[in-house]
Amino acid sequence: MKKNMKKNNSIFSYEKLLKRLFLHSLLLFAFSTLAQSVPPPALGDYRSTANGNWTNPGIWQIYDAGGTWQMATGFPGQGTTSANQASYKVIITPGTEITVSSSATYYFGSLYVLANNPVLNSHPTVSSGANVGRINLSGNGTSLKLLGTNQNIYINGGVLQFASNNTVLGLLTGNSLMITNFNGIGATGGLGSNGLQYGNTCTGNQQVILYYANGTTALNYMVCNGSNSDYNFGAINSNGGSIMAVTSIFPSTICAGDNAAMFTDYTGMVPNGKVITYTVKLDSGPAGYTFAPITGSFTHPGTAGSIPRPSLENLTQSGNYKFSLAVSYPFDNTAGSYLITSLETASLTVNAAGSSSCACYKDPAVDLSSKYPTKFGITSLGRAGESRGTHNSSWPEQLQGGHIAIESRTAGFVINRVANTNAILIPVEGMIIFDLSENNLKIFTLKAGESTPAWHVFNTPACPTL
Amino acid sequence: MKKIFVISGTFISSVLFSQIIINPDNANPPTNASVSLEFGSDARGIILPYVEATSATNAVAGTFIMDPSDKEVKFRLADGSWKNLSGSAATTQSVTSMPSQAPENSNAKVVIGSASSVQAQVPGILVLSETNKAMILPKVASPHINVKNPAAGMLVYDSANRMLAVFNGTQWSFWKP
Repeated sequence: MKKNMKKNNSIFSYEKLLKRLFLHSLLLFAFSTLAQSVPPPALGDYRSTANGNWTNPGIWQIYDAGGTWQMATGFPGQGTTSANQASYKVIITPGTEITVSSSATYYFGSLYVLANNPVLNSHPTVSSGANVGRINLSGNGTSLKLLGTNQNIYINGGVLQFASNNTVLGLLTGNSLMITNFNGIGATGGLGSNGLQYGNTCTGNQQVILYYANGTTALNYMVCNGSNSDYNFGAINSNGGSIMAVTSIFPSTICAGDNAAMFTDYTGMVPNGKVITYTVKLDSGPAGYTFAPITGSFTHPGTAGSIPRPSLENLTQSGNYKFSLAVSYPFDNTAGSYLITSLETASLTVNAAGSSSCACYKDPAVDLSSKYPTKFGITSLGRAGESRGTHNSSWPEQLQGGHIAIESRTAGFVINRVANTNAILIPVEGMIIFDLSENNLKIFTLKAGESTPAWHVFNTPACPTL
Repeated sequence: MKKIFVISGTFISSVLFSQIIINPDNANPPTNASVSLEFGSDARGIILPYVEATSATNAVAGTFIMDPSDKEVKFRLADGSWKNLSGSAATTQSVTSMPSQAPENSNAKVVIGSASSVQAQVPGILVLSETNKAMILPKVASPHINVKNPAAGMLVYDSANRMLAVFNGTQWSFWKP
């Protein structure tokens, strides 16, 4: 049943492929209508200059400090690790065809696969030649994984071909795969001849997989799966369209009794006039907490308020809350029309009062048998030393527990206001300043988990251990 | 310091000091040259002036008050708003000490630091004016246990938990980085 639903709800086209990736990994996409340009070359960038194997230094040039391209002595990604990510870009230039014939994982800047657009071929031809940059994943099971932070892949009219069975393109979850100048939108078969290609036939597990930073699979997104594909390329391409729920809760962590707000919206390529149905509900939460689901519908394009944005107020039960937003619209007006759907979840953590990041309030220590008069005072009310005869009821003695009492009806106590923390040459624990450079109250202290004291903004309500 | 020392605006409209230690333990010198104001090791705090926020509209960022109207210790932010440092602490105890009729000397001010400094000109009953010095907050371990009979408006550094602790007359509230 679940599989059926997935089949019915799935839309395949390049756009939809990207949308689905977006859905699961917060990718950002632009389509052929959006201009996509490569940032100017920077020191250390690589570009391809000839056909050949990725690991052959002879096909690469590197951008030097003098602003010119020089022959490379290594290949891009060589020696990079998650802990030692390079920052350079790698550009596959038009007219070069780079083969990845053994599995590799690289950590660098972004990868660009370019072409002199428009590229005019159609499936089953896979674009190549003088105007097309292309990467071939070659050999059964070969994978190319780009798992660096912010390591995106931009295929701007070029080709990334899954040339052999079981080939894999891997991205770090959260990074983008952006395809522009795709020439197959609306084409028969929906495949065009550039972007992600699998060649003449789809007979094996050619996949795009999203990975977590630790290397485990976040989402296994199948490009094609032979005769057992979830997707009917042609039909879905001609139906088109996509929708994505967008939801978040802010703040995502609160203390018991505080409030949060749930943001709800949707995006996608929805034809005007479609009726969008939404459901906001609680997926899971602490025992005893209830949340009445909110459902409704409206006609696209809606407004910011089309989907209610519930306030999550006075959440007194600590624990993890998970809310979901589902949006859908029918493809057509037939009774059996499949629904184009998206479901996203948003989580909220409520910490118990008095837990390490939440406030608690403590009653004072009271000693009725003794007095602890304050003996130093500054007052603007002209009552210095008044009532000396009744010592402990005069001011400032009547105020107990102070080193100093300050008195005024209109003026406060102004601490040192300094340009920045460097103004205090010899800071010691407990010093307090107002930092004019950041407009913050700061105290010099040792923060939990740190080894040396430093100036810190004190903006987190807290609870002492005793 | 057993002596009672009251500086009154009736007699002095502006008093200037450079470095001050209140209740020194053994006539200690200041900890270092970066200190504007510091305190002895008794389990005591600073008692902030009881000023309603609406009466101190010209306060500068970096000003502390104890607002008796809503029983909140407040800190003036750069945007001109007051940050409530008492949070949701209970407010059952009344906050009073001032004779309602006593006239106020509107010029009264104690400055610790240079009087010529721009910072010395800002509104305040006690102004720490040096721009290269800082006050060391009174340090008390677990002030809610060790400061006896605290007066409302108390400000202390909790040296055991490394927190800023403020007392609104009813309950202590705590802040950390």
